[in-house]
Amino acid sequence: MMRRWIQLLFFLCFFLCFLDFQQVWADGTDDENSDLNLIPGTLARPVESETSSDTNSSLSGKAFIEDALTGWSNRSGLLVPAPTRNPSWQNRTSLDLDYKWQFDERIKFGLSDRLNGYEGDTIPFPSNGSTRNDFREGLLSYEVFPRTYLEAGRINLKNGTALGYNPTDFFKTRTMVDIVSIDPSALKEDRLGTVMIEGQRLWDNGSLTLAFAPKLQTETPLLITPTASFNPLFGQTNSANRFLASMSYDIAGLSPQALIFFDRIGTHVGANLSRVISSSIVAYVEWSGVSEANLTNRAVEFGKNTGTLPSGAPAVPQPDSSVTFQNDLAFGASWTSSSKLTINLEYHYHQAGFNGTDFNRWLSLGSANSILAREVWFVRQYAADQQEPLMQHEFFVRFDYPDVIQSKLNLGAVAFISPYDGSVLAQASAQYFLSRKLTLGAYLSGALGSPGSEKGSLPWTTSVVLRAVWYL
Amino acid sequence: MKKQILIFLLMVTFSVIAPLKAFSVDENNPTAQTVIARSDAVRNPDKPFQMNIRLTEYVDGSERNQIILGVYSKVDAASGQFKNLVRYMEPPRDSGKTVLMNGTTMWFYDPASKTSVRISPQQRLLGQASEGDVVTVNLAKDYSAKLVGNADGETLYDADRTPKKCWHVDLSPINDGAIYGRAEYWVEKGTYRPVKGKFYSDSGRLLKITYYHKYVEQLGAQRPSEIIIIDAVNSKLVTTMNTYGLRAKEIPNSWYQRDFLPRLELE
Repeated sequence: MMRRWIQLLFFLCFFLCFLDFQQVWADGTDDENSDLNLIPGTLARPVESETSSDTNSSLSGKAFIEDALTGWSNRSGLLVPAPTRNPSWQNRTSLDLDYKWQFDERIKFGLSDRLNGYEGDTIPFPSNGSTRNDFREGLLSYEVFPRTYLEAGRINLKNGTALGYNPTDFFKTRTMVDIVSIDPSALKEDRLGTVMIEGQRLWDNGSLTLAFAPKLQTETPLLITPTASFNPLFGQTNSANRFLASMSYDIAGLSPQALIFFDRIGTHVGANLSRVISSSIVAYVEWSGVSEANLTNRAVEFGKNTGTLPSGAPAVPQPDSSVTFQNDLAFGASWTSSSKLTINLEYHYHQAGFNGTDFNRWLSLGSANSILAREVWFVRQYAADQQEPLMQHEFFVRFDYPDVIQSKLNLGAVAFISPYDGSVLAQASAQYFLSRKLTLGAYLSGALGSPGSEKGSLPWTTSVVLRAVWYL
Repeated sequence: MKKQILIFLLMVTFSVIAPLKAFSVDENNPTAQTVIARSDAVRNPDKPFQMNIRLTEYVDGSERNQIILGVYSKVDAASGQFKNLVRYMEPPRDSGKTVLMNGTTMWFYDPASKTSVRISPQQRLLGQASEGDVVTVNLAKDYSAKLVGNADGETLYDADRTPKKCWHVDLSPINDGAIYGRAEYWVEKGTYRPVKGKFYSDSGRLLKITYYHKYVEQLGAQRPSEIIIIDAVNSKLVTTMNTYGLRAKEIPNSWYQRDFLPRLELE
């Protein structure tokens, strides 16, 4: 018996030694070379073929043709009837240009424009509503001194660090022209610039920006329905004199920016900063404040000024007409996993917006009669046009999952969540890169909630967008 | 008195020679940190520069995707580490996208939305050949090095299957700027040319294997013009990173901030 145990022990030692030898062998030089077999034999590319010609063009930018087909499933039995009929389908075909020409070392011209053709069940083709041009940018830039720039023209000047809502992005109001995606980062791609003169000075760790946007045209009403237009819409983007000064200076890794903005409402002040918390987390905060009336009173005043609402229209659902200091805040963080998934979580505070009582009043007044329904919907449309939240409190979450299939497939999702009633406005998206020039996309959106909830009171329940982009 | 003078002279001699000895490099037995620093000098020019990078992705040996980038790199005087601006030139859908990397301060600019978003160091690792791979990095500033294996070096095959006598160095991160949780590095003895690298996540998972390849004269020295990156997680994926158009360029410090990103134009 004892002998058998010794034999077994000897065998075990031999086996372990063999394993250890295998491990040593595996860690040795021979194995270290084995990964050379993973290198494809076809990858040789002669270095001589590489030239620096890729960078020598004075023209930079891109152009693409896009087609976006959208279908909506509309909600029946709305508590507050919508003032206009919501389409059930629409197709948009666009030619999109975004180019910069560098004339010499100091002078540059930029043009960003999109020409759209529409058809749908509410837009007969051809008709007045079937063509529209979005003149987004057209500017001349001159580097007066090294790192001192003077620019004039229609310019998309954006500020802010948050993704879902940017209180310090003061030129965002009335610039949205079309919606393919509810994702705010996608909305920014299609917004109009503002005609302005802008000066910017860059130092080693900071910058100073001054911008003046003059009044060019009387304020125009909300664009509720698409109309045929090559109108540059200066009545939306330049209906008042506005001035912005912003300064940033990188200190303690916070990248802070302070802003002051003057418009017909008054003097807005704002600040934003961000910081790396860990190797995978970035936190950011953005705030602005101004003495102003609440959302309803501003909307009703705008409606009266543009002739959309009668002069005697009441301020509902927020009757308080006092002007007080109102705060806007967005703070959040992004987290990136080792598998490339990035999640942003944000909280938005909009003091001038509706609270729960205001929204209940919106529902009860709007459902009481059709005239009031039209007016309370107008307040909501005004908030969307200003790109400000309807409610005082809101949560926002965004998922970004690039390279789900390496270099082929990106997935994403966004959601605005109402803390009042749990209703959600959400969208899932997929982008497939069929080739270097052709990208296919799909967006599935839903307004989820009970009929009496914030998102559930929207006139549609789901929408699907199929999109193809061909780069020229 | 003579004895005191002799002691004084000995002390002076020692005080002069000792520091010299400390700073000198024994070419046969350099420290691990010296190996990495000298290897960094082979990969990276000692002056601000501009270059282009062509990334070619292969799946199962077949070319699937190609990305062309323009890079502006300059050493930050305070940290000794490179700060980088990376501009996408191709494919068309990504053209104009720009990434700023200055220590842990990193911004991503998208010309479509004309906005800059702050990104985390983890996002440098995205993609098979990530931004962390295409930027210029002085490894000696972010990692502490330790020689491992045979003291006389290890014989390793380079990407051309030519045997090279190499120092085998293990790298551990010493600050937040380090992109990887750990790395192994093989540097050719005598020339200090990097031959191979293995890069690990914080959890110790092998992420990438790199081979430094096709040494050509670039900006006054023989430097690798191709880096072969093998995805260790999915070994069917291989990316080549070819650098070209490397040239010295005076780059203002003011370029390395968020507000400059929309203004960056490749020359």
